[in-house]
Amino acid sequence: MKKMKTIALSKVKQNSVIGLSDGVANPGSHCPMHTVLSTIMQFEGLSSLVVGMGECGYYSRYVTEYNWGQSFLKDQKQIVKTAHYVYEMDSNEVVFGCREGLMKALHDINQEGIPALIIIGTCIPALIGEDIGSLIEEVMAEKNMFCKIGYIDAAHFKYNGYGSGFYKVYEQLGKLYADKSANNTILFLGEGQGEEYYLLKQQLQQFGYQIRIFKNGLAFEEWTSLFDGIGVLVFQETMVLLAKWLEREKLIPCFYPNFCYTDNQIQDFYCQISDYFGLNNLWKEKIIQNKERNREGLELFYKKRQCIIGSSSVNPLGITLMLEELQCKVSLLHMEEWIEPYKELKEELLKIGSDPFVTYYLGSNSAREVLENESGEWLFIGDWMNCEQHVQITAMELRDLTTTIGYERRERFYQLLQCKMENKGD
Amino acid sequence: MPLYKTLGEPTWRMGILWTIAGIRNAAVLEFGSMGHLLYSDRFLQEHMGSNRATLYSTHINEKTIAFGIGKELELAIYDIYHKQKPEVLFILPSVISLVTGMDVASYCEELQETFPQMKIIQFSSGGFEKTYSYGKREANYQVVKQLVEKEAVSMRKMEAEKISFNLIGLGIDVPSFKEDIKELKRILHGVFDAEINCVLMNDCSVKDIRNMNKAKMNLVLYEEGLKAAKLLEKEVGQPYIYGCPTGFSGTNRWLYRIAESLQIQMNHGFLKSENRMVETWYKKIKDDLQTKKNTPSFALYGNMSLVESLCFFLEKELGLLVSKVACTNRESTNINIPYCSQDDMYQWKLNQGEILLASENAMIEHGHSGNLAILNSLNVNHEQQHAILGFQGAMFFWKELMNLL
Repeated sequence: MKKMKTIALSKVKQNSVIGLSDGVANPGSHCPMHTVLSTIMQFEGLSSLVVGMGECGYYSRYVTEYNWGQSFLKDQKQIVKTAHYVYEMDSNEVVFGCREGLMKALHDINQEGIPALIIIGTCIPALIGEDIGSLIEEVMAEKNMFCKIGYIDAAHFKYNGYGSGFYKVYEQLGKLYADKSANNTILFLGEGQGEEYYLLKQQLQQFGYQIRIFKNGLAFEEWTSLFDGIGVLVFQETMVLLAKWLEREKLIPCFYPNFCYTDNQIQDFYCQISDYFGLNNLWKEKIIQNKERNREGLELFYKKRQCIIGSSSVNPLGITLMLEELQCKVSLLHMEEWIEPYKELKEELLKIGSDPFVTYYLGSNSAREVLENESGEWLFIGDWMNCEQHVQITAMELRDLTTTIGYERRERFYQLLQCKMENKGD
Repeated sequence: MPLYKTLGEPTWRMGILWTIAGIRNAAVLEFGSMGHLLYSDRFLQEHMGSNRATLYSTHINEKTIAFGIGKELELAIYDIYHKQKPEVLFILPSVISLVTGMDVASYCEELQETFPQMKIIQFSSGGFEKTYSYGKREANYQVVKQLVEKEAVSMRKMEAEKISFNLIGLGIDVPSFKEDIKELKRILHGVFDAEINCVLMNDCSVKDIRNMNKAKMNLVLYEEGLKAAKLLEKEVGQPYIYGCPTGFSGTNRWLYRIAESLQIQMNHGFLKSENRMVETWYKKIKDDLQTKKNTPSFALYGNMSLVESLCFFLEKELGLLVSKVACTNRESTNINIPYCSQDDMYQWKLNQGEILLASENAMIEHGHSGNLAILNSLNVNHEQQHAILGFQGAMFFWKELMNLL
């Protein structure tokens, strides 16, 4: 295989240890500011303020698409305003900090009637140690401050990729608005798809629970009053940090169907929710029917075959777990960022003796180039080129796996592998 | 510092990048995070196309910041050399390397010895205040200083060859720059039977730049090219003229200046046919303007050189009023055309009948069509660009003005 900088999965404990595969990026990936802004844009009435240097401010308008400022008339009285602002630091502020100027900027924004604002700190405020968190606390304590303000540190030098941008916006929204509780409500973080998801949702509703779904594209009054419930189910991976925060700070029990890939993990999940929400077990039988399938042919085809996962559109550790069940050996994983909830999946993998190499792959997406002198038929997952002699599953083909859950998700993945195997046979 | 509600100011680092990116077989390496170059790549692709330099980034993590430059820069340069073997590698600082004071310059000097076949040029001074035009000026100057052959070409040899010009100072800050180059090429060929030796810097090769000394004259269109042209005059003895040929009489005047200073013959037949073609439009717009009760006025915002020449065109040639004027060149502003930020320009209160010529987005925001945009910005439509310089530019301008009026 091509010579590159890698680290064994067992040694990955934090984000900074995942190295870039090559010496240089051409030109590389987006920074978290990009994804923070694109996620903010999904929520009506949520405004953004980028704090940093000219480059960040200028190009941030690419994401906000010239959002000069909009107003929505919610009812006869309430007008919700939204805008994208940039606070550009000058040479003096780069040395002495921008506290004073930023404070004034927040007052100006408040006077314009902006109801909710996320401040996005870029590399320079993080580098000089500007304490924007304490500044927000101070401003929010003021009597006439009506704008709710959150803060996200999106300094790119702290991360390789952009994934954290998604996670952090959802987490911030929780921190700003999670102050209610309701007895019979269950909060879904993200919206799932597929039979198993709908069956689960239906069952919870039949047992008298009200389901509220937190997802992109909600109207202002929906997302600002959503964080309540006696339990949380996570269907969207990027909302996992929000769930962890709700679990830790609000003591709301959270369940993670999106993180269940193995048979045991799925079974545990269904047992836990049945116990916690007081459901009877009859409904589960319908789901478990899908569980046992004969995969002898698949195992025979994929056994001992080596695999490279180059897509981060689906959790690479989850895919590895499912492939390992067929004894397919995952040799290399492309990962941009490491988040704490991956720990459990990593431990599952180590338990079964799988310890693939991890890298932030920046090289060419040619299978020939990455394999160099390696022989044999490989399995490539992601958008690789020159895969004619290998088996390949593209990122687009994996899209279903991000929204489906449980046995259904496993089944869809194995069906995909089956289909690829049959095509290869033809 | 300002709280921008609209588009901020491009920095000097962006000015350098947007300028040197026009060199085809060069590579640009930024010693910083990947995010900036990814956006820049998109911007350059939209405005410049794919005939340009390749962009690379080292990416920086907390370890590099804490311990300074380690092996990253060397590894990156080694990788670029083996991947692309560019003739020139430009090293750009990032805001992070500027804040932490990493001595990229001395590293580059050392590394130049390791890679003698690849010229390494690095940009390091500029602080945090300088704007786009400073970067564009410095990029033009440094490229000329470090790449152009310093040998003056003998007059006899020059006389034996076809007349050729270098165009200096053009850049992607003006949306029509590609069409402008085509138009100037056409006119110079028609009037002087001349060729363009090198366009600094659009779709040019390192070889074109090295051979800039072979041109008879440098035509500096925007003030950011003046410093480079002065250096060429001093070191190679190449004369230059500075000015933006806009409008009918402006373009004629520009051509006569070239002819006078080089003492060369003009093809009056070509000039006459061009003038005849535009005269019809000229009369029509003059007649139309006379029937208007209220003479429209203009607010101009863009590159200083362009704004200055457009003022002349609108006021002296068409007899229209220019009511507001400002430029993007903070470092080289003059009394007649003060500097103003884009954010402040957006706050301009336009009177009824006052027409803004600025970026496409700003013009649309003020209720005009963006066809006559004179300043580039993000997310603009590049499908139907027209020259605004030269005779074709004058024609297009008049036609559009008719629509606006």
